[in-house]
Amino acid sequence: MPLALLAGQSEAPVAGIVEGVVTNGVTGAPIAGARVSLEATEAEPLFARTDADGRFQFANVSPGAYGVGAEKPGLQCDYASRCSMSVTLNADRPGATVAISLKPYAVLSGRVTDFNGLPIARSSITLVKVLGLPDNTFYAHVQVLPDGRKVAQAGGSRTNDRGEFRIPRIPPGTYYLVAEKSSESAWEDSANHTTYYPSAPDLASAKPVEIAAGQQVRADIRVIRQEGVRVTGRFLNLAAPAAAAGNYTYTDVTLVPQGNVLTNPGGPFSRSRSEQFELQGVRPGKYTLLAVTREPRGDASGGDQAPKLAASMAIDVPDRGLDGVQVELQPLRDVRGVVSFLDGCSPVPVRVRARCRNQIGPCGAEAVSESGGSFLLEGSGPGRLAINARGEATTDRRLTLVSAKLGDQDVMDNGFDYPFAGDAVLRVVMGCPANGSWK
Amino acid sequence: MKALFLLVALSAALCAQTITEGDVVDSTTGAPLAGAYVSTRVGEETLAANTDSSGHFRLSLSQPLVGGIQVYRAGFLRSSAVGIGPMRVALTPQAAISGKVLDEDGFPAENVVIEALRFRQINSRRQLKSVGGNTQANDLGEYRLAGLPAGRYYLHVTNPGGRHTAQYYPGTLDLREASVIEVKAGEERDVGIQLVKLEAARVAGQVVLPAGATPVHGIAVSLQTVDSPSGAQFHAPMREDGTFTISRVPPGAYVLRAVSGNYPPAASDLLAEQRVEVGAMDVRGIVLNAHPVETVDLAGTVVFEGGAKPRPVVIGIDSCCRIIAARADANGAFVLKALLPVHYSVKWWQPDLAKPGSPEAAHVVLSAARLGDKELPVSDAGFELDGGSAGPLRITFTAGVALSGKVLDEAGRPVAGATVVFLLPLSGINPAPAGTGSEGVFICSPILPGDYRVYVLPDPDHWELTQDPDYLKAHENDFPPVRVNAGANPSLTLHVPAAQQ
Repeated sequence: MPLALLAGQSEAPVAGIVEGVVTNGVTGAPIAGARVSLEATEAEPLFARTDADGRFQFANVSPGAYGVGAEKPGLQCDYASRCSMSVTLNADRPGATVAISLKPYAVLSGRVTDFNGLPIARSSITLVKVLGLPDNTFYAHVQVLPDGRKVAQAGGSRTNDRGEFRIPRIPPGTYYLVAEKSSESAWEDSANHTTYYPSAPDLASAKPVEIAAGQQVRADIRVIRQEGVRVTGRFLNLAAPAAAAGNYTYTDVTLVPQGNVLTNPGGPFSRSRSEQFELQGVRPGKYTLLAVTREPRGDASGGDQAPKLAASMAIDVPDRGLDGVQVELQPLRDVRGVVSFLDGCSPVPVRVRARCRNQIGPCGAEAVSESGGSFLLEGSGPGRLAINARGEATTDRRLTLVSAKLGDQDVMDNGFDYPFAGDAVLRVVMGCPANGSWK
Repeated sequence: MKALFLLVALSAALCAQTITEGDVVDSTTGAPLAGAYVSTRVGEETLAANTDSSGHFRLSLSQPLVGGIQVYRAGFLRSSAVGIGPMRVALTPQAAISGKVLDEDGFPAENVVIEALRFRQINSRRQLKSVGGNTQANDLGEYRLAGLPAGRYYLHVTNPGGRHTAQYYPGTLDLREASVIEVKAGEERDVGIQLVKLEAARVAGQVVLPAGATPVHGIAVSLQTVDSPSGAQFHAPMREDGTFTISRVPPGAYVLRAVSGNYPPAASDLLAEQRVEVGAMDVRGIVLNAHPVETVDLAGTVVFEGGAKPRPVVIGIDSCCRIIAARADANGAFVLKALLPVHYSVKWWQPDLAKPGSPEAAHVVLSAARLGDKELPVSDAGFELDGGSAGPLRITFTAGVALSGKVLDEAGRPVAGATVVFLLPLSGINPAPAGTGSEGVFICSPILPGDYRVYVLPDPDHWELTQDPDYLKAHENDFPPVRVNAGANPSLTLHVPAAQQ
């Protein structure tokens, strides 16, 4: 006998019924005890539980549009879009039958410890997915590794005071797992470094984690501890008045590991109010150095600074550290660009977005192309800018980015470092779908 | 020859080094703690060491220790220490509250946010405040609040976007019916939380726009708690006819706000704000008349009294994301430009403090603020201000009084280790200034003349006690009150009872 719940809207002209069955999407077996919800806009949802045969029923349902969803601990719907099925009841169709399937989901859990085996609290845990078959997920920040594989960040978590983390509902696939200090909290021990599972300094030497559908996987990370070295240097082109303004003008500098796949790699950081800088605790290796000089807006009273000069340069830090690095600051010029279209596509306004990957402070810009295709990306801070573009009008959204070049450099996959020397133009090419296939 | 030179240089370098060493132990058992992270800053540099298996650490410094050491180990409360010679740092084990949050069907309440709240005495008012941040229940409903000092806590559960009203453990809207969970140092307490479906009030009304106004991005209606421990905020879309309904609103004081852009609004955005008191009953029929935001320039004066020498001061105001600052000129005049009619926190700072050669610059204390005819409550850190007024704003600084003294034990010997002396004014809401020192000697930060109660904290790491109303009440008569006069004051001598050391 199915469990039933009255909708309680007795004045409805038609007493409708919404019923159905909830099954296990892997085995096909009925799921008993699932909680099924019937939701309408601006009304409290109604709930029913499935019986031993996985069946449920809502009786006396008023005409209208509803969403029907099901949940049970440890299970998830097949695809997010099918978690809530839409049904509409009216005089012609007073009843609806829905079938919902739920599957066990995969979970990755583990523990992050230091060289002593003690837990590291408040570590940020990031999953980096190796992209393979399409999985209906949109990934921002897709990057191409030197071996041609594409990776993207795909969720994450944070450790508790015991160093434990748990990431549920992971789509099947191959992942890399990274522990790093979280943005709001430094690790106590500054000699601890960002570490890939199981205890690797970078993705190239990390061990991938394979996760199958519904699998419970454990992956513990032992964080690498290495006394860092020092990097010192000076900024060139720091305008004399800016340096004299003293308290209110400063230059921030950080190092981002080359080949970094993380959005916010918490590298060494320093703020300098002079021409000199010093970074401590740097793990030897190859980096991109990012620097930005900020000056106060308006009167020199502090508190509201705007980026004026910046630098992005490659450096290689040896085991003994590095002194005397000369950082050539340059004005943050706007990036000029032009959009063109493949043959057969009508030129339309295109929104070009430059999203920041490695950054030091606010970064990124966007612009809409004018007639003739030209655009200007204004006001970004320094960082690695990855380019994305789409038709500005709702009807042109299916236009897609085909290629992006800065001067001769292909910046389609991994973007470009900003600011850059010279005045290269960003060339963006868009394609359009025709007769179901892409030109 | 070269080798000899190197040797000489090396010996000179070694001679210049000082060694700071000590032991880290568990304060409850006295057992040594291995793997504790001990750090200190010397100039720009951080020096650190880990304790060995016997809990011993050794820091080799290029110059004498100035700022003390910080000590951290997983499972313990952070601590710091100052002193000369071998140090013994006792770490207090953290308390933790953990368990599962289930809904009325026994399903895990994933993503609900749990906080531990504790009473604080802030600006003479008893307020419930979150301790140690919040945590989110995982897909199994599990939560864990760690890093708690021993104390009495309330648990508060919010369900952002969910169908449960924010509630106190065990399932009540009313703090008076909530259970207090008392944890001791090192205690791990398992508290299962059963969410309860609670009927809470609805807040409903209508936004009225100026004739002809059609905001491009619509109007967002929100309800922001005033003085809430969790700063909870509720949102609702405005319907096409301008009406809105916000459900599941727990009792309390709120600001109901309709805004056409983001908050804080920009000039020409539409804004309406109204205070709303919510009890057990629905609040209906509210009319929010939105109008274009107008900015106002607020002129003011900085005044120095009580012998304080005029000095450069910057007045800055902050409304969540944007800071507007102005420097007072030689006559003390300043103008804060383009203020929106929103709530601000006003702060002040002395720009010359960062420059060398201004040793006495810090010795002024913010003593009063007046907006037009209205006196604003101030603390030394700043005060609160509602924008939209033309002012004028008058800010008074008074010469602060330096106070120093000694803490002695019953036998008249200086109390070893770090000392925290804490003064609470008998009237007014100025914050209680504190002084720290080592080996029984302390110097308090500059304060206003007046009468103060005196406290000596049992442990330099228990700063939270300076805001713990129970502690303040229980210890208010430990020492006789002191009167702080303008100008020079005699050094204080405080005798600590043996039990408190």
